[in-house]
Amino acid sequence: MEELSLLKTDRRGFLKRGAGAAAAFAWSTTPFSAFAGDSVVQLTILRTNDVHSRVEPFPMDGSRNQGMGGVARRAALIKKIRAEQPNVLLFDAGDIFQGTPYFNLYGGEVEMRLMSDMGYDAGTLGNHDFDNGVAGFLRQMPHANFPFLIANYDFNNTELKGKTQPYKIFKKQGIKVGVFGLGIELDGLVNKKNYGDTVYLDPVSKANEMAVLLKNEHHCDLVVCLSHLGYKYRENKVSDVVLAQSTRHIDLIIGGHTHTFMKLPENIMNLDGKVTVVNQVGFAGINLGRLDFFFEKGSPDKKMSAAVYPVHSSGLG
Amino acid sequence: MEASWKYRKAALALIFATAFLSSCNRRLSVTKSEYTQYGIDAGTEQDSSAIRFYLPYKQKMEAEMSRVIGQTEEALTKPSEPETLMGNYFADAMLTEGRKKEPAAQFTLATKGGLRTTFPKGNITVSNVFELMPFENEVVILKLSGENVQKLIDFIALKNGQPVSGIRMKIRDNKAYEVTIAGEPFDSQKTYNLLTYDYLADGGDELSFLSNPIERRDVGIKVREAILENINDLTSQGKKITAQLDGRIVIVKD
Repeated sequence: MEELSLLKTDRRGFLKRGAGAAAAFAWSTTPFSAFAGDSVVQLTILRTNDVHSRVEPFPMDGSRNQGMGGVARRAALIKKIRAEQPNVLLFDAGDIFQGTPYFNLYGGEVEMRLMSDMGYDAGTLGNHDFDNGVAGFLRQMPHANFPFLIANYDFNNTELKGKTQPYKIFKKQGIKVGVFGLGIELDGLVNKKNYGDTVYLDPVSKANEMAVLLKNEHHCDLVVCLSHLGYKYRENKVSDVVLAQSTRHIDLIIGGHTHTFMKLPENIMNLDGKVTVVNQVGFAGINLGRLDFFFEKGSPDKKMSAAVYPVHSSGLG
Repeated sequence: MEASWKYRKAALALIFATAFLSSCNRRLSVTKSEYTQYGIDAGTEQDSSAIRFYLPYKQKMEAEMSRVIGQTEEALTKPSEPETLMGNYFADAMLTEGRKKEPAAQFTLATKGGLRTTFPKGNITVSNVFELMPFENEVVILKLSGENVQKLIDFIALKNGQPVSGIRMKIRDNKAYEVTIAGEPFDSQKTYNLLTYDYLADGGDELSFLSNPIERRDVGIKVREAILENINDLTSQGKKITAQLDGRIVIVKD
């Protein structure tokens, strides 16, 4: 695969090809500053959402997504990135379950074990992860070697009590990354029998509580939210966009639920007038999203223009 | 469509507005960030160990899904309103299986949109049943007031019929009349036991009045399991999967 080596060099080639949707976002071409020496640390966050038991690629049946996705390809891509980058974190934003007979027959074991092999660092719960009930999720947890982060579901009166955690702090080359999870309101979306005595707590107040804790008490350098709230809604309903606008200290929201193919991450101004980045990559493992953060020691604020540049055109021909 | 497909195959990178961390006690700040999206397609190489891992599951799954469990005498299709062979078979099978668990069930409702495929003539596999009902819907019995059953009847009439069993009616101008349930004329003063599935019982598909029953009992079997059991039963008795258009719903045009 060439895409990684193309990362910073193929702009000219891409623009010549002129893929309209991509070029439209290249509204600024501010060059990168040079970051020389050891003082720059690169953190690479990889992410999926709503993979929905899509173990194999979509069948070649003429449908819209035919041939797309597939865990074996994703696993190879992740291995390749890990080989090139020292500080990789891999997250999923929920709805691991449901969508193919792999789930119906094996209950999620295949999905969990494959995610463990790929080295997922954490996931959160989507509404479909309750499709075989609280007990059905609990049964699959031994197949996952990574934690499930969820701050706004109170599982104390369920079998999942003590099996999930609200947040986790990851350390990569001196960078502290605080990650917490948020789930969608289950009432009306999931059969009560399946979520049982799970109590849904207000995600905005929970998020503020988590972000303050991670930023101010644990002094995390980056605060990340794994969210299954959904990107945004017409009606007045909490979403990733609402969450970003209503909170402080969250740097990145790794979203899911609405299966939104965002062309680019969206920058939302939070309560402090700072940017919270909202991102979602469709569903079914059709895309793998990658966010690279470059950290510098002791550097003062310095503003940079946003710029979009395309990097990979493998398969376009 | 072609353009968006190509777009997904392309990956983009972006330096998005950097999140500046200004707290004075912080050692590190983000000075640059980039975004890349990798389209996972046939151009992506595959990890052979992942395939080796899931192959036994895949083989067992394909063997299970392609297992023939019964035969139809003719194709069960759903070409038109108000009743269809697929809808009648499905509703009858649900009522038959539901009554094994709850003999008091009097009639059944599904929706046309909930039945996702048809059955071909001949061999029926596990896969056909999964395609018919891909959701994890579970069988539910609702004890309903006559008033709510009237709303249900109005709903069926408005939709020019739905897959039902145990209830018969005529419809003229989207209004139902000569309605019988379990062989008796409908009486709005009585209560009735409806067998359906949780998605509808929770008020899905414009059926919000179903979410306020007098009583609700979750039977504890998935609809798909009920259909599989029905077909297995028929096959073990040497019978085929059949359905008739028996005039349970008739649209009268003057």
